[in-house]
Amino acid sequence: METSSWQTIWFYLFFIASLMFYGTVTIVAFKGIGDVTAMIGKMIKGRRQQT
Amino acid sequence: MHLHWIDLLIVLVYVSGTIAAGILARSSIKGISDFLVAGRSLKTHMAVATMVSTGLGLVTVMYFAQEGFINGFSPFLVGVIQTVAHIIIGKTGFLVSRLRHTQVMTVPELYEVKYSRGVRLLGGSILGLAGTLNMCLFPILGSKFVVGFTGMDPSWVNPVMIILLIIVVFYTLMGGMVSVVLTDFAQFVLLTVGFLLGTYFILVHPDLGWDTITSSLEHHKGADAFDPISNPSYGWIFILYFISISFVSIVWQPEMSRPLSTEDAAVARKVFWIQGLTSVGRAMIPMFWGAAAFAWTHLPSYTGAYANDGQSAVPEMLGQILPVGVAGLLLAGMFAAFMSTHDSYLLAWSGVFVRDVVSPIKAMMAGSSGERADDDTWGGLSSEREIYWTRFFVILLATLLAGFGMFFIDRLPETAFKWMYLTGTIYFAGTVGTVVLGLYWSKANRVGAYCALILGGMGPINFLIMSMVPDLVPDFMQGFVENSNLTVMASLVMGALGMVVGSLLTQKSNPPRPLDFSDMK
Repeated sequence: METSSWQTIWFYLFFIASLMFYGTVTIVAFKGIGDVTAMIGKMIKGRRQQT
Repeated sequence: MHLHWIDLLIVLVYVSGTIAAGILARSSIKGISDFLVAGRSLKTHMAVATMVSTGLGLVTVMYFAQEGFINGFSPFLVGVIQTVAHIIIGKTGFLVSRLRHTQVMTVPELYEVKYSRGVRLLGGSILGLAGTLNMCLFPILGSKFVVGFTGMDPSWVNPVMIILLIIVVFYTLMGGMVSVVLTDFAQFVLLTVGFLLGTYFILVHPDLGWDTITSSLEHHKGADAFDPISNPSYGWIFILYFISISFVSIVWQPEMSRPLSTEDAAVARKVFWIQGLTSVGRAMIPMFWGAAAFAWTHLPSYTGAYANDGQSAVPEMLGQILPVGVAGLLLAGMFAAFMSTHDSYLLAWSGVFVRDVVSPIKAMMAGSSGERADDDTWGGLSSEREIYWTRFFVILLATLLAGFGMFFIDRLPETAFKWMYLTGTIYFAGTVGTVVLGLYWSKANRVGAYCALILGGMGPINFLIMSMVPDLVPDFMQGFVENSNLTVMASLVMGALGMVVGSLLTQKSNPPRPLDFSDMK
């Protein structure tokens, strides 16, 4: 395959890969923040009970 | 040092916050399953965040960046293969579902369930060895990033590495997997913002941009910078190897510990395919940075010292092109990535050494039957002693890593990326037989497992030894020393063949132990 064809393929793949990466991370971060808050809350509660 | 005080403040706030979280996490550790797999309570999105973070350490950024610096865009293919493989695994549940269903915490535990305690001991030792060798590059590459990014004198690489390791060890000892999960989430967010901003500033920089980078690669490296088949570092053998390893490498303990920490097999599968969507970006973005750093160091105006150093050129370029505030954010993200990967790996390998080497030896000496108890121990060490010994191994491994970083970094046979896969294959090759065939082939038995582990692990170890004394290698073996592609591919085949031949020859004397997956979700 020609070098220019590879360059075109990598250009579009880089664009798609970036979209997939940032899109997935954004969705997961929004949905996962509740889990993190719950975990920290559980830890603080456990610490209070210990003291 | 050319960092602004605002950048340093951002890093300081992050480090203080994570240490506080580690101290907080300590109170939630009740037993070994809390310590190693967070009590198997991770929900889907949290597990995805923590798994992506583990696969996106500072070392990952560094070795992918070095690959981009040396080979241009050709290694982009690696990310594409990984994403396709992970999505297939997530959708089909290949390996993940069955492993999660067996309720094991480490992969060698499966060896005891399916084969024997002796296989677990051997598998645990090989996994621990492969993992430790694999991890040897982590601290030194992390330190090189910090030194290059901040513009510190290169003589600071070793002291910075030791300081970073001390912080990570302290943090890991505090809260085990719970603290790992928390840093992972912080890294997940911070590093993504850093990736976005870093890429943006590369693309809009007047001396860089997509077209300038592409032209520079084409001018200096030719077609090899874009064509992974013609590039001698890759080619068809490497592509075939990488497709195979992308399916098998999910049994790598630090990564597999996330699906094993989920609520059930269905969540484990979901975690895999969601995080698979990020795999290609995780590889391509740092590789692009590496290619950009190559173009940067080949500008006529470049006066730095890293024109031939793919490990240091990227942090140096980023440290110079990012504005105040963004530089601090990226450094905090990278620091988070450093901590996140180190604590995950230290915990994973220490857990393997304790649960799959020390504890089975203790159980054998005590004549224990080797049944799994309610507290997830196996008749060797108690849950409390396992935590104690895991912490001991965390410190021991960190000390070994510091030593390796200081004395071996300049003697690597190949790029950091190839080193990772070469050392990983010491273990992966055996798992083709022991895990893949063990879970899906009813005739897999104990003798086959020994053959798979030993034959699979021999190839990469031979390569490591031969590459240190190339003059002593006979002519007919030269193909195995020129680069590791042939060796690692042959090892996978040997691992599978070892299981098939060993099992088929000894079916009567060593009847296979069946595994029941009838009630799997």
